[in-house]
Amino acid sequence: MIKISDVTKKYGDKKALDGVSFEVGDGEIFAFIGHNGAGKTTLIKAIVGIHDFDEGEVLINDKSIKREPVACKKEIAYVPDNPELYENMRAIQFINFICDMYEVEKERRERNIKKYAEMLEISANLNDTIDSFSHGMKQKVALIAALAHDPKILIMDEPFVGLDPKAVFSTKEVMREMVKSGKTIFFSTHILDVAEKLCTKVAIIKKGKIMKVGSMKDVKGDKSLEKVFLELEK
Amino acid sequence: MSKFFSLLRASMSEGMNIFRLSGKKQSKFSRIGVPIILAIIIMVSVAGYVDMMMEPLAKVGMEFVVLTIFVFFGAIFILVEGVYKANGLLFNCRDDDMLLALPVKRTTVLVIRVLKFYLFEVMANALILIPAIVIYAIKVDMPASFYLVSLSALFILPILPIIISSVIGGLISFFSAKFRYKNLVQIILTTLVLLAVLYASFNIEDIIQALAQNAKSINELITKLYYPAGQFIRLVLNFKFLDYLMFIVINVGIFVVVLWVFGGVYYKINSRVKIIRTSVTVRDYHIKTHSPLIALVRKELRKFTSSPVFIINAGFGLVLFVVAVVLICINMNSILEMLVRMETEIPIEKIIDYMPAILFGLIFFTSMMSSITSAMISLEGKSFNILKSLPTSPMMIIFAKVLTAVIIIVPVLLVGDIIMFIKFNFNIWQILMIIASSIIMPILAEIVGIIINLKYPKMDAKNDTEIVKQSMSSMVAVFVGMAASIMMIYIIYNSFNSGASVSEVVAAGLVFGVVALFLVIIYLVKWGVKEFNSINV
Repeated sequence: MIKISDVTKKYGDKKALDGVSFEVGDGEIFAFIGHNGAGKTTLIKAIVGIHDFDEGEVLINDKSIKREPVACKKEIAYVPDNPELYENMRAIQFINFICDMYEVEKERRERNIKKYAEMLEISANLNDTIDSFSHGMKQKVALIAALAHDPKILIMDEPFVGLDPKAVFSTKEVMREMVKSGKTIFFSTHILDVAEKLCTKVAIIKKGKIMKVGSMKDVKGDKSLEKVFLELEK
Repeated sequence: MSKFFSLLRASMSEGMNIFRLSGKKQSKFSRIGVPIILAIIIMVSVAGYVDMMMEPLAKVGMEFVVLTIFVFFGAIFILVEGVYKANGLLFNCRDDDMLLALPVKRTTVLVIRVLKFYLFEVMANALILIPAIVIYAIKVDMPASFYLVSLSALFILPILPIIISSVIGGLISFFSAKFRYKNLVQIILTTLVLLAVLYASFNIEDIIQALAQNAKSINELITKLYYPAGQFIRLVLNFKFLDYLMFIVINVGIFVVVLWVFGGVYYKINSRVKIIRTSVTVRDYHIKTHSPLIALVRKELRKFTSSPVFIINAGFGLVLFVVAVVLICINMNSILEMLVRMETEIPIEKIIDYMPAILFGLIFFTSMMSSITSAMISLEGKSFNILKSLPTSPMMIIFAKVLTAVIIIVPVLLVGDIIMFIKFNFNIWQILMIIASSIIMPILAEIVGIIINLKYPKMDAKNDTEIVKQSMSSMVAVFVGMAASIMMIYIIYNSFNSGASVSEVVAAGLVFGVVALFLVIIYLVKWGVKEFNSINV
């Protein structure tokens, strides 16, 4: 479970996040939407412990990301929007490196790497260096590295950008499978159709403030998510 | 034309922003004050040397030779630096795709890159040339034409060394790209070129020494080797407007012709440099498990070995250490003769007895000048967020970086130590102290390096060269290393006459190292994690 309470982050005088609060429960797929520069990536980076925030609290399964960052990070997997991976490494070396950092046992990592590499159709490229990869292929490598340690919480920033249709489908399958086993997924996206079909809960952020949050049904009512979003943007 | 200037402005503002730190709040002082202070330190140091050389030259009425010598030093500096910088500023640029997709001619992109390279070198050369010109003008009453010629020379003199270094840099990039292990080939070729330049410099020094009594000969030698220097000096001594015009036309003409010829092959070289070799499709891959610390160290070693400029920068000092040790061992008599010729105050008969202290000084100097960690945080670039999201403490990440650097440096120092132990008679205490120094001094230097890089990170560099050779962190690390080395060498030098035994000198140096190490560890533990977390990418 992710519990975000009154999180505020300032860049100089500007508030990038202004008292953001909501919860993402176990077994939920949570969509986080907002226009460019609304504060989505800033909040995601605060949740995964990349950026500090000025006020408030983020709890990952009841542990504070500020006070127990290592314990929190062990439960999270993070896939950034623009995967800046170690270009000099081969894909398999990068995935192995991440697995080493999460202390994943050999059998489990072998099983997971094989499973997700086949699912995302990248097995034949795992021995190639990352600097020869397209954006989509890097995204796939980042996703395999994130999933290989069976995280309890998967946090993704724009996970579908640059992926081919087959990989988008496979990623959605992975997300559904994780949720079935009680895990939590939180991701930002601009693809509102996908969010609407896939997610159980949604939050809409504008200029660092949460405009609406709740179950998909409560937020959109009888309208489409796109319509609700565009009305809030006016 | 406005497109050209827009592109030039964008390119320059990005390239010249070497003191802008990214990923961190930066005070006005560190953005503007530190570079100005560094420039002043360099210029004052050069001015000191110029002033020192003016006195003997004034006695023979040949003060102008000081200009010849510093013009030549500036050219050598540009030549060596240019070979490094060509790969990054001219070749292998990350903005290729963006610039070539713009509606501008390819030649415009090339001209902008060359101009950027040129202006960068003009600024670097000015740090050497301006103090020489100013001191010369203070000491010798010069007509107004001197200032006009000198101002022009600041822009004209770097042209020839830039052309030569671009050609060498281009050839290295071109030929190394033909091979599968192009990074390795690039490292070997660059090292060979740098060793050749070094060897040539030593030989020139010999020639200059042989002609030391005759300033006229030195002047003739340099002006023959470097034609624009001769043109410049002739104009300083006897200004003729036609000669001045020729000085500008000839050099600018060479620049334009070379640019025209170079333009024809530039994109061929550049596209070859960018070839990325992928592995033959192999479905089998090996999965090995490591502890987090070992995994971090392996990652750092991979980064180190995949970056030619990183290897050359760190490795060159280590290679020179081994060369120095071997030279001391096989050529001791020549060194003693040289010291006698130099009329040094060092008691020559005691040099061999003082060898442990000399070796200690070499170890300290090499450690301080081979700061690998001063670039390691910046080299993470945008990937820094991967590290920050990992379930490990920042201190372990920092420790892994220091450990990697120590793993690279210590074995080389120990090889040098063993060679010296075999050649000279060290007692057991001296051997133990030297081995301890070869471990403690690199740890000290690398912790200092990582503290500097945490303080001055550059996370948005376009290539490794920008970080390793031009970033504020690397420059500050070099200055700190130099200052510490000068201090240590001064203490060792003075201890020759103080009556202290050689073992006492080494022990004192070692104690200094241990105390300094203790202090920097306290600083790192107290502030390191805070600095690490404050870097936002």
